Amino acid sequence: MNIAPKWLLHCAGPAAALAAAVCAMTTDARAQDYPTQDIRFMCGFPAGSGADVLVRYMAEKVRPVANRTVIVENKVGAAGNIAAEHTARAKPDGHTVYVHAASAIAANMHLFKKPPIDAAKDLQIAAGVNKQPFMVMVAAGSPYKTLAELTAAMKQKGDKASYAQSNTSGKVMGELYKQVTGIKAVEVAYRTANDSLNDFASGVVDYGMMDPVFALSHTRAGRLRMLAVSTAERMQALPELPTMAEAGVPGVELLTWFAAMVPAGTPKPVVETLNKWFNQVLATDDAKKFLNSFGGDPFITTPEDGQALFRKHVKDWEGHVRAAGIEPQ
Amino acid sequence: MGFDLFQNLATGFGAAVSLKNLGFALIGCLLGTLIGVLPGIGPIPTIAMLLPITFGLDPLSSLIMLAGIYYGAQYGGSTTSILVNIPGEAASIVTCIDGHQMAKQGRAGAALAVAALGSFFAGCVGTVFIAAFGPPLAAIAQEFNSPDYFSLMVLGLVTAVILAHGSVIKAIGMVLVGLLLGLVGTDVNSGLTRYTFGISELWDGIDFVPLVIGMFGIVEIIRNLERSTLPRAQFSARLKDLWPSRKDFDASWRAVLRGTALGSLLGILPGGGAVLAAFASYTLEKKVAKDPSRFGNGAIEGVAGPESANNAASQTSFIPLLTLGLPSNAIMALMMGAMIIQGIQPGSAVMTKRPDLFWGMVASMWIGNLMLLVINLPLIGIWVRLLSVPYRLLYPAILLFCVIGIYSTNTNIAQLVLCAAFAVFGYVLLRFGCEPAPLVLGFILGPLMEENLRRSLVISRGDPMVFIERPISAILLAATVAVIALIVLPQFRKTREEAFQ
Amino acid sequence: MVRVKSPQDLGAGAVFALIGVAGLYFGRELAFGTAARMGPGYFPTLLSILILAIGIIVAIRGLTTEGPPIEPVQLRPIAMIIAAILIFGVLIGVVGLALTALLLTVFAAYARREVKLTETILLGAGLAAFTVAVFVYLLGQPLPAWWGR
Repeated sequence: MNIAPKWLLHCAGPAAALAAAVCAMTTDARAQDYPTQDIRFMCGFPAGSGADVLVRYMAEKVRPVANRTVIVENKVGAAGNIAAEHTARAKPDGHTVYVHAASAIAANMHLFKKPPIDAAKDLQIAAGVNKQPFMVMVAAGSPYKTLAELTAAMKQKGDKASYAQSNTSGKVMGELYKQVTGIKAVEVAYRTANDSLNDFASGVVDYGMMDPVFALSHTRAGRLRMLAVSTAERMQALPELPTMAEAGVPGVELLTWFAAMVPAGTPKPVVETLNKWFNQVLATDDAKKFLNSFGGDPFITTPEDGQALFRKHVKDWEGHVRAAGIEPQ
Repeated sequence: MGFDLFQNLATGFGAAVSLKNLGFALIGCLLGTLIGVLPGIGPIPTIAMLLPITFGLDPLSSLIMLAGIYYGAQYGGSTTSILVNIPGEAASIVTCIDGHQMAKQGRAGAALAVAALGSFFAGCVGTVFIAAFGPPLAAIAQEFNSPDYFSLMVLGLVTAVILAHGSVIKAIGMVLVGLLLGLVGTDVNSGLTRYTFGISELWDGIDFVPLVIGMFGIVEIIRNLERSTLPRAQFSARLKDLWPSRKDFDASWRAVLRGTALGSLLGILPGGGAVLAAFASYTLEKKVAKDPSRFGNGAIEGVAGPESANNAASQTSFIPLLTLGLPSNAIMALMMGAMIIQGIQPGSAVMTKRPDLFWGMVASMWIGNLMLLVINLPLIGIWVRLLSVPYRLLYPAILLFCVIGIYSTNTNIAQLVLCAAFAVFGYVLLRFGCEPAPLVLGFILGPLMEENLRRSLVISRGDPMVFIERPISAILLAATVAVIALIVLPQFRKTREEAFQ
Repeated sequence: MVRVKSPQDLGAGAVFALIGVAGLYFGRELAFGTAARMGPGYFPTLLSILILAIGIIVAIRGLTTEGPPIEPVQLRPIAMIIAAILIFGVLIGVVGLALTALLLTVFAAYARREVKLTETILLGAGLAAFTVAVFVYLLGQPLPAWWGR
């Protein structure tokens, strides 16, 4: 049995301490050195979809600011949960960033019977990207110019009225609207918003709760009319459009917001750096124009405020899902 | 009207033919072709990948480059269909059937050339369509509501049965299995998941790419490996063999005309316009051919028709986007996003407020088609040479590219597991004499059909007469009955003849 | 003893019947609804029944009408190709493209009977280099080139 020489044992303690200190310094140094490799923006939507274009735009704009290659990786599935899980389990060193609708991830906590992660606990908001409302839409040829007119007319129509939705948020909005006003309209579901256009035009659906990209592009083309937004405040991009509360329908408040999310254990300096980059990009005129054209406002915020909003939405969506009668899958 | 058209096109060409824009068109076509040739990476991921390059360019240049990428990717997809039996996108599936057979018989060059020439012709016609008939055609497309789409899908599915060159009843079975597979995922109308077995990756349904690569490409590789001698495409450097023969030309030109007509009309309709066009063209060619048994064994009309239909549909699918601002499929939605980023709101306003943009795009479409011809015809020699590489070196490369392609578009091992599963499934079914093409058509059209059926009934509050009351739907259903009669009557006559013998 | 006249038809019939039964079984919890208000289970159930029916018809035809025999199955090609695909899927995120490309090539090569190992490894290395250069560096695809990311 060989016992190590005494002098070795003497050195073991200080050596260990030194080693620990060096480790701590290098980890800290690594956080200071961030980024040390290519940054990966995860995208929960398929390549070529509207949200994918947004993620690629942000990647393109963050690249020069971060002075690093930014690769976009599509990990599609389960309404963004697969990518969310991947991000939550990734190394918390700031090289894996999930750019997605944080509101959707919050909603997923209640839309899934067994969500793979606990959103507010496993993910951290590093930066906001944009804020988007959903809109109450009617066809351009429809006689209703305000939400109040629409509500009154739909009450008259009873269950002969129909409305369109192509999105869980739209579905929830539609249900809440009905509950607050007492309308009995029948819901017509569409896989994508564009599928509903012909039905709007031919009067088959009376109104719809649609996403802003669809709403804006077809309003500008003169085919649809927006009546109100679903957010608590008016959008900077569309200051003339009243909120649903202002237009006489209180209690319907839905905000879609994209954010940059990182795993929960990511060190604070790294999160702050990411936050700085994103805010820098969002402050530019080009980004503002880009985001406005997609029906949203830039969302410049701090990680703490973002995380607070995230937690609030996770709580809110429990009520939303129940109110809309959605069965978790 | 005639003079206006001429003047407009002149304006367009003026804008598009600048050296800068020609350069962008060329780069777009080249990049699109090279990436589109990679199996598993179809037009949409190709465009998405290259989109950031166009961010800094001015609107017309970026649109020209994007259009070039789009056509290039499509043509690249057709190339892989013919060479290695892997469709680049849904509409190229039909090209695989006879195109790959032609390649196996040493006629890859002819197949590729006919595809290129037919596509070019269709592209020219399509451009004229956009220029001359844009708005009225778009107006017709706007009339389509859910019941009409349902009837269109039914018609499309019935034509898939004629497509099969084996047993009819097995083809029907394959279509139905495809329909069932298409239903896996989340149901739009109720929000419930179907046949997902709790697997998150199946939540959004089975992805098209792994299914198609598994059932077509991988199965092909496995079957080749089972032969006692590995396939070796005859390579001959004689230009004569790289080019279609006189007989090939004679056989193809009518198919090209018919395919172009079908594609130009069907491309305007939102949804699977190009897919339907390609399948319908193949079916039509098989029906009017003097010897239908050639189909499935390398009939050149089976390449000429669908390829022309495909390209014509790609051209005219721009019509709803450019004239009304309405994207008719996922690629057009991407183009629309690209336009919005550039500050252009696609729609009727573009034609009047920025005619240089509108007509410039139309002109550049034609230029893009021409460039593709110029780029691809010489490439045919290279592709054919590539085919003559010993198969034992070639097939691992093909397999690797497939797998990379699938993983790049969705970095999830589940995609590869699905691909492998469908390869086994396709292999087993092929052993039992069932072809994959009808299954894939069912897979694509099935969910659309069910969605439109249920939506029609929700809107009509349960009244099934809506399918006959709407004129478009009624016409399509009548056509379906006619096509079914076409299938069934010859069988009747045959059995009657046999009975009387 | 019933003679199988068309093995292919019998096989196809069996597969279809199996799919039909599976469709009915795994979809049993989906609400059927009515013809006027179809539930999520309406279409799947109808389709499954039709597929089952076709399966039975084709299987019966397999016993009554002559048809071609099933070509003998060779396990090696399909097993190795499938293995190659799965190896890639499992290892790409772990060891990166360079190694996985090599492994896939080797596995795929052994789908044949006579394989020269050196030639295969050279091919694998070549393909690995090419794909890493093109896909990772040139095209910026989200594939890790090596391990550790």
